[in-house]
Amino acid sequence: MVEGAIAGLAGGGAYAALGLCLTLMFRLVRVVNFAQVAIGVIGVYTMAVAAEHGWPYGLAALAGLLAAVLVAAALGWVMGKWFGEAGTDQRSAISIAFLVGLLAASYLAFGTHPRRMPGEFGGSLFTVDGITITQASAVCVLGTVVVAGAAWLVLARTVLGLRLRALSERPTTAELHAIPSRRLGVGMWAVTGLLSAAVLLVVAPQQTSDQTSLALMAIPACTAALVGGFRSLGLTVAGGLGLGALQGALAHVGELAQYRDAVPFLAILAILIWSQRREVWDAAR
Amino acid sequence: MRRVEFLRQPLAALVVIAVAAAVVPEYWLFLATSALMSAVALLGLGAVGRAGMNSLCQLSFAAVGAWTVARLSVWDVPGSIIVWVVAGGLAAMPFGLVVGLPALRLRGVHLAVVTLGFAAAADVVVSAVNFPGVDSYQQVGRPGFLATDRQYFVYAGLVFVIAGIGAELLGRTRTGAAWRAVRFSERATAASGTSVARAKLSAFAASAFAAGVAGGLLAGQVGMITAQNFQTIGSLALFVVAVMAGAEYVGGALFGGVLMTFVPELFRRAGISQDWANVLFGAGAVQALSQGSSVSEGLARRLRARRPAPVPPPRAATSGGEPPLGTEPLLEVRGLSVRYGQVKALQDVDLVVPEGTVMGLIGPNGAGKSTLTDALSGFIPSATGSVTLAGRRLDGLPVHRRTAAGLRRTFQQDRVPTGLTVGAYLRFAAHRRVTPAEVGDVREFLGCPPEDAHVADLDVGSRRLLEVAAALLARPELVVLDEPAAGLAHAESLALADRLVEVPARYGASVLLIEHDLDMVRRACARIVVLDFGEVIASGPPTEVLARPDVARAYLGDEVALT
Repeated sequence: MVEGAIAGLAGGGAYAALGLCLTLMFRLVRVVNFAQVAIGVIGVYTMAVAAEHGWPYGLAALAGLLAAVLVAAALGWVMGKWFGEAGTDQRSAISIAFLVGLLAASYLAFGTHPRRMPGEFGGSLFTVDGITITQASAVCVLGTVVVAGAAWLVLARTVLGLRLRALSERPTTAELHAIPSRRLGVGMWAVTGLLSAAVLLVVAPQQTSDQTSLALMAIPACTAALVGGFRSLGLTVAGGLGLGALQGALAHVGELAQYRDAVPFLAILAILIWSQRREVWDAAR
Repeated sequence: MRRVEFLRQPLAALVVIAVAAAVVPEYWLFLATSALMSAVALLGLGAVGRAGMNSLCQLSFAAVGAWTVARLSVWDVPGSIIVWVVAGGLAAMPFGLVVGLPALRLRGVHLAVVTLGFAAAADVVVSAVNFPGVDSYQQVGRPGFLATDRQYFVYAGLVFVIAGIGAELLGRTRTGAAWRAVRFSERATAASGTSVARAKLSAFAASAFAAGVAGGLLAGQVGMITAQNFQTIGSLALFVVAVMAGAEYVGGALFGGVLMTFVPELFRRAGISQDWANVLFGAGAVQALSQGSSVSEGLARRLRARRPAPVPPPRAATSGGEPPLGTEPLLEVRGLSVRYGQVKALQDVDLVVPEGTVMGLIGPNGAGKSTLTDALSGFIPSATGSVTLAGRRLDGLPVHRRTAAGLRRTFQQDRVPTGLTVGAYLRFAAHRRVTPAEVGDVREFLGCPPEDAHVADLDVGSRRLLEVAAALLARPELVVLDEPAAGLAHAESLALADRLVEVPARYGASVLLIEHDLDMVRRACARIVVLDFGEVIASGPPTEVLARPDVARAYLGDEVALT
């Protein structure tokens, strides 16, 4: 059980990092970006194709990151240009259209067969009491904590963070204060796109998943973000790690193992019903 | 006449199905059958969409329908696939209700996340549990008269036509109107006596039923089903096509089904990858959302714009006479208090509205007038004190039950659902069976637009009057009007005041009028009550009360009161 839970931390770290992206996007550009992980998929598959063409790993990974940034920025530009004034619900519906379109585009560009993913973090880091800590888990967990801390610092302590928060809460007022809302929005998309691709660069080589199942990691990522109510960065990280550990532990319980991927749904349901138990009406008055 | 018009489209569809079945090659008919199945599933998404909700798990419901049909086929239950498909729809309904339950608390994107989570969880379960008959290579059985793909196409066509008629008829019932009303405003829906919970759950149940039927049809068409048929990404694609084509319309659902089936096929024939189809659908949905309307909705709007609604005759300014005073107490409020944290919005308010009168409630901004309205109509469960209407205690009752007990309210904001016509809204909000004469009478009384005008085309003032008309049509004991004259010109406010004076005699309802327009209040009300900082500071006949210095001070500040 404990072994399983610790093994699950690699996945949990990925959920947490992707959940962080979702939380940042929700807070700063008012969208639950269902296409968040699909953007990363484009990045990681670009890397795989470049590596197959004989590029050294570092260069291929850079190319992958760049591809993800470009795709994310393009989508962010569309969102800002046509849906700048739209509400969260509508923007999120659009991100579902992005997800479906991006996945199809990914199949067009990279084919339908899973590719061999070169990776840097395949080995184990150390073993204590028969429990192995893989490099991937360590990178995921540490990386997530670092990113969460950095994001918190930027948001709370810098002028850029202040502008971003102003932008998210009152976009029109922020524009009246000469904050370039569209440019900052595109920038947010690009940064979270980069982060998603980076997460997948670590995680994807560890599993044999096709584009769709990778892109649908958005669901456990949503669960992680929900733990933090799409607001708290710390709780999002905790939620992601907890979910990964729970799934890992369940993998060792015979009868439940095949249903472990249904855990996010139950978690989503429980968290939402608890956090929204008192909200009844659609408008304050 | 209307009935003939209503039947024209289904009859045309039947003719098309018959002709297609006779002349089109079997291969294309197989594809057309798939298109019809997608269209049925899209109709279900349309039901949820009408109620303003997003569902991302339509294929999970379809899987339940398909599983049921496969199970019944293995058991060889009598009634053939015709009965099995219906059973598949019915079996999916409880799942719809379960997924709908979170919708009672969640809305918008949070609800979308729940349905997506459900789809992913269902994926896992469906992959783990084999469909019945798959292990023993047992196909879903079809009776002799549905054995060929040509015959099965006719069957699918009939199912779609029936589903389309069902969706259309359901849209005209109170349930259908409640969906559109919930989409626009849950508060107003509850205030018109309809249970928001029931409206949302019925939309999800209807949606799951349609998906279950579609899944059952699929089981019959392909004979052997696997988890591959119902993956999450398929549900997402269905949602995207629904947004693009406009699944709220039967024609839109059919169009969406045709797109989903034939666009990939055309690409395949042209030697282009079928994945382009989803790229196209994604772009189409983005385009539809940027226009603010789906393909079908845009068409419907354009067709409607060619027939502008006639302008109602100007409201005749007739004096309603003296406001009636009333005698017996109807509404009794004792010690009503509402606190928001440390703020006391209402403090120990005592208020009696007599039967058969028009009473005014005035006060400066922030005095607590709207809070009082909310507390009376049940929107503030934490309110303390007692509210009695015609001897019946209303405390603790939810909003729609208070409405049913005879306490009707209107809203300060525009809360008339824009998706309905004037007639449909009046009949929905009346919340009882009304004759066309009654509808015509109340429309004429307040000078509302004709029944076939669309609410979306009306100005704010007309919408406010329409809301008042709907409240009167419900024949309540008491109607609380929250600033009904906002958005009306001064002369029209006075005309409305004259009409309100007639309301007790004409409709048997007392009126509690909350208004800033003091001329209107003077004209309409027999007595007024003044609220300031959550407390009643004065009550009595309008001329007397408005002359009091403390009332003037509350309204205009200290300096004015001193001069």
